[in-house]
Amino acid sequence: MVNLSVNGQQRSFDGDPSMPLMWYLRDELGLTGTKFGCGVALCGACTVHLNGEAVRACGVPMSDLGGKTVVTIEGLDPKGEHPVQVAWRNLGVPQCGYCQAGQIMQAAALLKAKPAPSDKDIDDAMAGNLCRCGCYQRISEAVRAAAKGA
Amino acid sequence: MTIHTRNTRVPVISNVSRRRLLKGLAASGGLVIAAQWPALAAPPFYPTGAEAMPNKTVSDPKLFVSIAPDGIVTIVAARAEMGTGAARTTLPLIVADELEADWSRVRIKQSPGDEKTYGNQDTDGSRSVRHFIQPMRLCGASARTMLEQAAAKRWGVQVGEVEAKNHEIVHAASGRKLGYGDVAADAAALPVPPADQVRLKNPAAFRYIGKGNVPLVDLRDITTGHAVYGQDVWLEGMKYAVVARPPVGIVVSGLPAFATVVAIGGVSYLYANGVYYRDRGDASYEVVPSPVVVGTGNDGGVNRTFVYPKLGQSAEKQASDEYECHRWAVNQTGFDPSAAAAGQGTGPAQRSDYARAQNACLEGRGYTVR
Repeated sequence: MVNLSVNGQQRSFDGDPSMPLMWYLRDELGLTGTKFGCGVALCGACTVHLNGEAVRACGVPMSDLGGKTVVTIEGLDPKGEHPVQVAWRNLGVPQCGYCQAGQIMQAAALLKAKPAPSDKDIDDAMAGNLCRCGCYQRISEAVRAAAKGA
Repeated sequence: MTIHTRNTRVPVISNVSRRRLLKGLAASGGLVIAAQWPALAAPPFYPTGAEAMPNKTVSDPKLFVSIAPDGIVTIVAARAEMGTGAARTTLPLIVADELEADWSRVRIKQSPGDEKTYGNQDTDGSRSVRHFIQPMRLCGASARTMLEQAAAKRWGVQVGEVEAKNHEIVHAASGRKLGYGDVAADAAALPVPPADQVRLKNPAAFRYIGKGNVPLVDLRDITTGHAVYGQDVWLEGMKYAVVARPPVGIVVSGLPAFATVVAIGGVSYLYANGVYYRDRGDASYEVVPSPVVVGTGNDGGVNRTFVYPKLGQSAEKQASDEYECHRWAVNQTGFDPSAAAAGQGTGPAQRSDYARAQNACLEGRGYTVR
């Protein structure tokens, strides 16, 4: 039995301990904001926060989650008004949007760790989150805007 | 249902009177004051290719537009959103512009897959706006005309004296105004006007088209994880499928009719769906490793060729020369190893001719080829 917290709610899981967190979120909890992209932790679409840090949910087995705290895009802010989400909307960052939950979670974790990141910090932190629409310039701009509280 | 087909360059306007999408649809029976603006009437559609698509286009405002008593306008997005915003933002925005609707009071509703009703829904080829800008303009303009007709009728004035402006019908002469929600029910009871009695806006009067800075309608949902993608849909009894490739060594008793004979490196294979088979001669076929190795040489990898830049040519120059010599050799011999890898039947003699032609070309350009 794995006891964990997801978006502030206590959950118990007694299924296959090797199941990746991503499928637990999507299939068992219905939290489909976390996207399946590559399934091998290469694209960043499934990024969530694990004890405050950005991780790829497709690469974390349920057996690693005992006592841990998971936050998904649905739980990032109760009203969807996290500064990163606001900046994303102000700058119209997404095109198709498929990778954007992962991008936002990655950016939010960066700003929690480094509230005033340099451009290089932003590039380094966001480099593992792929966007096939190519929204990278707006993503970087929005991270800078969120850092300034804009 | 009556279908009016004006000519091949005008879309099918179907007045689906039983559809009560406009809220509060009431029996009409009153006088319909038809608008007459021949000089400004909607022109016949210029051709876009939409006419050649299955089920063509539809611009019936009773299908695409509904207006609630509180004035909220709901526009149906009938094509699949593929990520550019064309289906759920741009096309409804075009309707809203011609409708003179305030975009902040517009909601989007996704249609089901139903081409007979909504027209072609094959959302591909970067052509949703190209194919549908005219039908959607006509749709919005027709709905606007019906609202103007309804307001004119209520005021007892000529329809030419009233004008729809930003979610209101205005009678300039008397200063009277009616909100869209106030006349929606009356408008819904009117017949859809023929296309030649509908004014399209002068592009100078566009409110949204070409103005930019309109966020995607799904922007908030995308940033909060609530946008629904195909992968997020769950249906009762839904099955999951993956493509399975047969492992090497498996023997099968039949191949699809489209299996092709290919000869690579002097060996004959059968090829289907990305898998190579060896004919065992007894009506059975064994899955074999792919003989095509991508990227190890310019002949598909069977007989690797080494090319040395004798004159010190740069890597870019060499790549360009190799490509040009490849094209030349293909032209000379009619054999293209890249096509052969994709399954076109060829013989070893052709491959040998191709290799000799390419070598001759490269040597002529100052390379040593082994």
